[in-house]
Amino acid sequence: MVEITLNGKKVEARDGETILDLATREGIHIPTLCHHPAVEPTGACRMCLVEFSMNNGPKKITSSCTLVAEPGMVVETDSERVHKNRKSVLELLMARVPGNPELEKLAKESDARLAPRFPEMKEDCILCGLCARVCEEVVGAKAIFFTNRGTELDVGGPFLESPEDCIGCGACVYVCPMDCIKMEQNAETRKIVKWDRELPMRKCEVCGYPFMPNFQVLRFKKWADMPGDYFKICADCRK
Amino acid sequence: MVDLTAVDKIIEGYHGDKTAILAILQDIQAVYNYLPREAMMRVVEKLQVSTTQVSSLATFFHAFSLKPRGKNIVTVCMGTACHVRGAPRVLDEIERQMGVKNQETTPDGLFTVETVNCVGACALGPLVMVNGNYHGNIATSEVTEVLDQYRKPAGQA
Repeated sequence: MVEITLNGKKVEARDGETILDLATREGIHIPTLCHHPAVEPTGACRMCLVEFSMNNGPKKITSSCTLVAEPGMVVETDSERVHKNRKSVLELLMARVPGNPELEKLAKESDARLAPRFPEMKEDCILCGLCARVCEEVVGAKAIFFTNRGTELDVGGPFLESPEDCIGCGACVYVCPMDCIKMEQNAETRKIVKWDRELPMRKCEVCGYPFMPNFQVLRFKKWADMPGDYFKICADCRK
Repeated sequence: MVDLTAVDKIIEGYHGDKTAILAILQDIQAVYNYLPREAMMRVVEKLQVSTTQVSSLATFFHAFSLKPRGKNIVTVCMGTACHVRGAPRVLDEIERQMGVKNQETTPDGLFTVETVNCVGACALGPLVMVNGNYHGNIATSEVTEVLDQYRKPAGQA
């Protein structure tokens, strides 16, 4: 156990616990976009900024999702400086992705301007990389990641082409905080629009429901060493 | 098709060590002058790494080229010191003489023009590097002379 001061109150943090997790446990709201409990934090979206100091040292601003509690730490999640910094980050994100409902929701929580003072970029993605982290750490497909860097940075398949390792599971669609990864599905194919990945579906031999992309079945068989006929019928019919 | 025996030899030289991936890519570029897609896919296959890992590394570093490059690489330093001493004028002159823009290769495949943000030889600015050879304090009037050194094979008048 680690004792720290959070918003002027002494609290006990678990060993290795991040300030974001601790604050959430203590009922303190910190806004985040790129945080997901299933994957390692990277501090990409900068929405969860807090102010902290060690042993009465200088106060620093950092992302709370990557800040691990240490003895003698004093953290402020609600100071004027914190709100000012979060507001700037949010306005930059809103200039990059104008009209995004999730960002506008966050803007209403704070006093960020809905029409930011920065030039609009008309992108749909904030490059937080949550999709890529989930693809690697949870799914294990490692189908998408960052390409290029700096102002050219983009996320997608290798060399920004259709990702051949994508199994079409849709985990990236589900976690994307900007909701910019769309999935289209009919009886024959499933398409992850942002990655330009289209996969034929497998139909259940009992009920005929297109329950999984063929390619996903092949990968699962390889990864999990499943019997050859295990995926011929869908999960509902298997019961 | 690109001959990949050199790639296999390079990977063998690192005993297929995944952590040496960057060094392997550098060695591959030293052989082919760029990173051929086939060579990168061979690295993926041999090292058992993801295609995304190789793609992100190869596109992150400015030093890697994914396009075939010329026999001679002309690198114009655009760092602050070189910039204030006239590097943009030197680049203009090189582009004019070659008839190609930055990042492009001449049609005869002899030269590729590139820029870099600092080579760390600021006292020599403006500076042009050709195949790793430094040509410091270069004036626009000296560009022809420097480039001519690389036009002819060594030992030929």
